[in-house]
Amino acid sequence: MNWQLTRGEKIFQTLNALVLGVIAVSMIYPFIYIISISLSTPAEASRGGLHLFPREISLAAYKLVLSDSAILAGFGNSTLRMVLGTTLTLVATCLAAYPLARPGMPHRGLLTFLILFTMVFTGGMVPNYLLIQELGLLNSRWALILPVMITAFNVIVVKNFFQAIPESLWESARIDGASEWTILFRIYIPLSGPVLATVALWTMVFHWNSWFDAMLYITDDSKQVLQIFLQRIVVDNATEALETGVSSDQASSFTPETIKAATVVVTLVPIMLVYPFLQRFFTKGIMLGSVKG
Amino acid sequence: MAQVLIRDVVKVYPGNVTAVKGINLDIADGEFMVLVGPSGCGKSTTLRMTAGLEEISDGTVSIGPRIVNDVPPKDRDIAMVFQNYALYPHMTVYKNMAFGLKLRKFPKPEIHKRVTDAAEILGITPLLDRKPKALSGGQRQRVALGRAIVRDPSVFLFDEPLSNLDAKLRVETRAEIKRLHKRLATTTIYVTHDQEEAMTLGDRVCIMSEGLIQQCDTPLAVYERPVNRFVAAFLGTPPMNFIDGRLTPQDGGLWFTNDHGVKIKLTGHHAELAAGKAGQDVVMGLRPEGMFMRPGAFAQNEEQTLDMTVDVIELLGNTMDVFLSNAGGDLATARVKAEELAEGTPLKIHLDISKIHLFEPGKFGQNITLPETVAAVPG
Repeated sequence: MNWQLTRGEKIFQTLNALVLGVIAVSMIYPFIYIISISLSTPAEASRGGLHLFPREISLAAYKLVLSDSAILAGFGNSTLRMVLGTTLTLVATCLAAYPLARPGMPHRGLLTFLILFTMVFTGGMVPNYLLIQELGLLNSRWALILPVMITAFNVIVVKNFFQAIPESLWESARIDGASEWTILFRIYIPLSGPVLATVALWTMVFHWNSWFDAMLYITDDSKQVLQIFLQRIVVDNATEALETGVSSDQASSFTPETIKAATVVVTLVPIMLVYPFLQRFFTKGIMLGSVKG
Repeated sequence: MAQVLIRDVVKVYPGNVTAVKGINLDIADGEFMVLVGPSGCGKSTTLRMTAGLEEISDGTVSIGPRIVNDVPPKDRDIAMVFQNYALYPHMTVYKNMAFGLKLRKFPKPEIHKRVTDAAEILGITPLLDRKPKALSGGQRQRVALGRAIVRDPSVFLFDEPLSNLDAKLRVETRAEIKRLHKRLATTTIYVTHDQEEAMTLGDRVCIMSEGLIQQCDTPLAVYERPVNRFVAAFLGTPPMNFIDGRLTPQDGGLWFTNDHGVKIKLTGHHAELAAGKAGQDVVMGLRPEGMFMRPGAFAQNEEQTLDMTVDVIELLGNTMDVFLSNAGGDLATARVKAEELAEGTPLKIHLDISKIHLFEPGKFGQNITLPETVAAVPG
């Protein structure tokens, strides 16, 4: 296509690019800054001004952070929480969404309403805490997984995706002799890669970044998640614990700032690595060829 | 194989919408029955009730010796081909065809044999490892056919399977379905809205409208002896022409006349059967191929002509459709041999009286020129 832009359109496009550029920079710069600081020597890190690339690279802060047993335990706990939590969320969400997506389900409208209701009105922090306590889940890893295992929003999103799968596939499978379980696990779920990848990513990010519930329900440090340690280091400046037993020679190769930055990067990278693996599911067209449309 | 009996079947949807109003249909073992009609006539609903995909509000459907109203689709011994193919997109062609057999726990060698045999019959052997997205529309529909035939069911159900194909492919696949039916001789119920498909495929054609069967008979019978105006109008391309008028006794004979100067002498069985309706309003139906621009072997009688003017001509190769009108606004289309003809030319159209029908007024007006034995058996 080739057409002439009017003056107004040119101005609009320039302004558009400018505003979006500023927003993009304001988002990307903190990342670059933290990565740059985490890789810098103490002298370089304490220098003011813009930090885009470290002029003198030092991995001392990373070595310190990754050799800390509490952080490594947090890493393990967060990973366990993320993997188990996401798996259970996907299974439970599909099991809830499938019957709600079926036209023949009795009282489907009422059930959907009741689920939607929980999106708007929730018990709140204190009732939730009391419930967890009554269930005997305090200081248990299940307290971080079960209460958030199934959310109304995820159920509605998956339900809507299931409803977009042509009804004729369900009918065809029924005539082929498939039970509802077979249809769900062998037809619907394999066709729902995009939505399940999306829900999985949301859930993984949620579990990885969650801090507040762990602070409320977990008292034992051996069960504590990574974000709690990050909070202690970044917000409470508790870098001394990491520096315990470090020689004075080594201590001169990092500062509290580089330790904080390295901890932030260590907690960020795993979840950022997940995205490329899930990206292929986001591509559209999985239904291509199934039905004419 | 099995016969299918549909008895007083009614389908009422929520909101008290009645889609099927108590139909009766006997489909013989090995018969190819086509249900045809306009959108919303109840043909697909009837098929889906037979498949078990819709609940039956009243009446019974039997496949073979048993009533299947409460039998789930998988236990009805049927296979269905859908309009939109309904192939499982994440499975290869082989797995699509094998899926139903696998669920029925057929041994692997048997599954392999059935799938490869069906693929051979349909010429899709080279496609077995492909996924549906790598197939053309025609290939997908053949896979859908293959998925149905591997099951070796008692009844095949087709729900407008050719609607999504282009015209050329539709004709080819139609012939393939016909060949397949001859080879397998399985009882088949085929739903379409395309009257050409219905006429070419069916052993019998069942024309439906407004939830009722209007007529069910062989393709030739429904075309030549339509029981009412709806059936007459639905079948044929171009459709039958209709001219409003009345039966007028005159000069010792019975004439079809109207105020626009139309005056046609009824002879033979038309005059006999319409004699009792003299003086009444009727609608005359004329097939386009029963109208000629000059007298001939089938249209010799000068008292069976229409004075009309050529409005538009559509050339179709060796034939042409001539759209005609008269001063009173009566319209007609004649399909005649192609020749030089100018628009605006006045013509005396000669009628083949054997192709004329007289109907009572109204959309479903009965054909009064049929022997009573034919008119009394609509379903």
